[in-house]
This record gives sequence, C-alpha cells and structure tokens, in this order.
Amino acid sequence: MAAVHPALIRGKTWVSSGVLYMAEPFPVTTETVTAMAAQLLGMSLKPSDTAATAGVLNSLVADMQALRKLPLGDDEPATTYAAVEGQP
Amino acid sequence: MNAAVPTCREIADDVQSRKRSAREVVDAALARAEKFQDQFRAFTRITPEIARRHAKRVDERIKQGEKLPLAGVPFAVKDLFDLESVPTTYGGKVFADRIAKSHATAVRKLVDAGAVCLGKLNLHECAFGFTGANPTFGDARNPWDPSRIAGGSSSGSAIAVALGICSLTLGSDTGGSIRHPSALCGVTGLKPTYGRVSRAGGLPLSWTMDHVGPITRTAADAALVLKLMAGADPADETSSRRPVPDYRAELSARIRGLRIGVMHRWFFEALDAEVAAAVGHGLERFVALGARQVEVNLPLLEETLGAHRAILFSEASSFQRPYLAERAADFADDVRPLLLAGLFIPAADYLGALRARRIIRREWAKVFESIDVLITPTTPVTATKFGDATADVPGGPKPLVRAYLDLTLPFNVTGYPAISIPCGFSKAGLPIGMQLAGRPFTEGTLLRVAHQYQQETEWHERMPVLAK
Repeated sequence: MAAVHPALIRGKTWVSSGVLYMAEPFPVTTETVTAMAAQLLGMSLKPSDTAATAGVLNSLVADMQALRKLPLGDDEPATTYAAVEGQP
Repeated sequence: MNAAVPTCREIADDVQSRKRSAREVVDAALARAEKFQDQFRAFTRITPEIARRHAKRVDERIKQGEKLPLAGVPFAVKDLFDLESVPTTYGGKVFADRIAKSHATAVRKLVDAGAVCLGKLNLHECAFGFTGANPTFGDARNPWDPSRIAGGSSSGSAIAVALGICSLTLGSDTGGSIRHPSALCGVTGLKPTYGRVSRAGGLPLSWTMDHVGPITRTAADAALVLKLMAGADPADETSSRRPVPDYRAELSARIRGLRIGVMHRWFFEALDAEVAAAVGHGLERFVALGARQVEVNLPLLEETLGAHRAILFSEASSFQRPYLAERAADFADDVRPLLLAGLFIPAADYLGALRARRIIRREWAKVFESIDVLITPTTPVTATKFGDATADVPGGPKPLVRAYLDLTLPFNVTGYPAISIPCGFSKAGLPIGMQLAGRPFTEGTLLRVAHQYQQETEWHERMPVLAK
C-alpha cells in the first residue's frame, strides 16, 4: 500500500483512494468519555464513573474487533419489528 | 431423592391426593425461606400473605375437583418478574416503587397450574452481572460456601433451589444468568429457545436476547414446568406459535444413537482440571448409554462474543437511559458504568451485531445438522470468592466476565436452548455444571439427555451441609 499522507490520518483511520481503512482503535480515555458524555448526551459524570466507564468501553471495543471485521453481505438486521402489532 | 427435597411432581401428587394441604406445604417452605434468609440472602422479599392466599385457593380448587399439575408446589421468582401488587425492584433502588399491576405471563401460568409463590428472589442488580453481589438487598451467597459467589444474575433463584426452600424458581438468562448460578449452586437450570417462553411482565436487560426459564432440582421437573410455561402470548410478539410438546413424555426414550457434539476450541481450552474431568466423565456416561461422540467446529465464536457485547450493552442502556438521566447515583457502583458505557456503542456496531446474528445462525445451523446435542462445561471454574476479579485457568488468569460467560453467551446470541446440570464436585466441595445445548426447539431432547444422566448419577441430589 502506498504511504498515507499524515494529514489523512484520523486516529488510526485513514482514507486512500476513496476507501476507509480501519485499524485497531486507540484506547478510550477518561477525557474522551467526559467529552462524549457532555457533548453527545448532555451528561456530567463523576470522575469515578468516568474512569470505570472508560475501562468498560476499552474492553467492549476489544471484544467487538472480530465482529467489525465480519463481512455482512446483504444480511439485514435481525430485529423483532413487525409492521402489524402482534403479527411477526 | 433426598427426603428433605421432594420434587415438584411429588409435592403436587401429595397435595392433589390431599395427603397434605397446600397450606401445610407452603408454611413449611416459608419457614425454611425465613430460616436461611439472613445467611444467604436468597430473597429480596418473602411474601407470606400472598403465599397463604394462593395456598388457600389451591386447596379450595382441589376440593372442587380440579386437577392441578403443580398443586401446592412452592415457587419463587427472580425480582424482575411481575408478581401482582408487589414491587418489581430489579434488585435495586431505582425500581423499588414499581408495583406490579398483574402477574408476568410465566408467573400467571404457574399460579394457574396450582403453584404457590413464596416471594421475589435476589439478583445481580438489573440482571447486569454474574456475582450476585447486591448492595441493596445483601449479597446472595453460595449455599455450598457462603464466602463464595452464587453466580448470576439469577442468584437467588439457584440458591433457593439448592437450599431446598422450593423445588422450582423462575430465572432469566441473557448471557448465562440461569445456567451460571445453576452450575455454581449445583442445581438444574434450563434456558429454553428464544421465544419458547413469553418474556411479558419481566423487566428487560436485552429484549432480543432475554430468555425466561425454570431452575429446578431435576430435569424431570424442568420438563413438567416448561410444558406449563411455554407457548404463544399476545403480550410478547416474539413468543413462538409452535405447539408445545409434552416434554415429560419424551424423558424415557433411549439416547442410543444420539449424536453428542464436542468442540475443544473455545469450550474446553482453558478449564480447571477438576471441571474438565467431571465433564469428561459425563461424556463417557453418555457414550456408555449408546450415544455417539462427534467432533465439531462451531464457527464465528469471536464474532458471536462481539455481537453479544454490542447487543447487550446497547439494549440495556437504551432501556435504562431515562433512569440513568434522573437517578444515576441510585444504581449500584458496578452496574452504573456498564449502563453508561452502553450509551457510547456506535449504532453501526449494534446493527452490525444484529446483521451478524443472521450469519451466525445460518452457519451454526449447518454444524448442528451433524449433532443432536453439544456438550460443554457450563463454567470453566467453580464458584470464586467475592471480590475475585480473575479465574485461574490454564494459560494464566482470565477476567471473570470472560471465564464465566464465554461458554454460555453464544446460545443467547443464537437463541439455541441450553441446560446446565450438576455433574460433579471439586475437592473443595463445590458443584460443577455441565451444559447441553441443541437446535432451536429441541428442549425435549436436552431434557431427555439430562434426565437419563440424572437417572444414572446422584450429583443433583446432594444438599449443602448448611442446608441440612
């Protein structure tokens, strides 16, 4: 693969020839959790919760790596929605 | 059978034939529940008035000539199922004032069949954990060693059966929450196929992976109870319309020729030696009964783990978001960060997991064409001490959440039925559980295999010294 221009690197995600490549993500920090809670959810978290939440998120992200690499083809989500209530 | 712990069937026969009244049976069970409550914390609430009212009604129905398959059988329910007029606390402070207006469907079916509810059972708060440590209602403790965890999240459900308080409890299972405490407490726990038993009237952890099932002392009792609990329910659109078989009628059929699958990778890789030996002996027993061992290789297990994480955390946090916004401080300290973390799972991961689920289901179905039952340990180690963070397994310490749930959670993602039955004890006197899983809606096969094993062994009859 050709060298990636540093300006295109965002975390460990970069764009080359219109394709988005994703490598292993950086660890989630307490600062990230604090910012996301405030900016995305409007929540202010206690420092102890922020640290614990960051720890959980890092574990989750690690456990989801294999899932993220699975080719999903044309499969739709297996939700339980039914257009007419009670008639799945 | 140990005389101190009659089966559901034996109790029902006695009450139906009026050898004993339902009231007598229930009074004895209530006394036992009270006796052990301080030490083991099986219950969040014992409901003697309701139990005696139910018992009186059962005795009246029998006098009127009704045949009740669970006549006077005491039971209790994990405190996330609704019991009319009683708070459904979810094991914590946040839901403490949520008074149920009616019974959950599964509870109602058991009461209609003559069972008598003793109360609500302790759990890991919000069903989001596997230790049973509970700051609101007290830590649910293992009857075989109170310094150890009972497993969870249906902790009290397994404890109450292990202590002989009742021979039937209700649990829910989203990653192993029926099978895990059943294994650690030495009782029988069945997670039916997704949709086999209505989820209506139970507080959700994960709508698409929650399963409702019985914890009993024997597989025969589980067969009796499942027949009564299962079936379509207008209140749960995911409940199956398939006919419900008479599981008890299948129990005695021979297992000769049955294909029992074994998968070493993932399920037998990092096991305590005593657990490996006990499950190995169980497999030998099935082979001696005429079953055929088949090596299999279930695909996509790492992806299944990832899907479980994405679905569980996303759905749990979606349900709890309003409560987190208003009462975050009232959640247990070990549960709150889990719920907060779920708010940050990308929607693309959640939907990817729901898409992956179809692929996993398709690929697993191919493998299960070659076997009738998959045998695995339920857990790779026996009950750990409160406060332990890792399990000592070959290859080095493993985080408990991975050690305890990796072997059970794949069957929540696929919705396949699975049962845990006692298959031995460690030198320290702790129970060991064996898991049997099958194709969707083959509970009859699993119960038959489990029953035949229990006809040949006595592990399920053992009682903790502290309960005698």
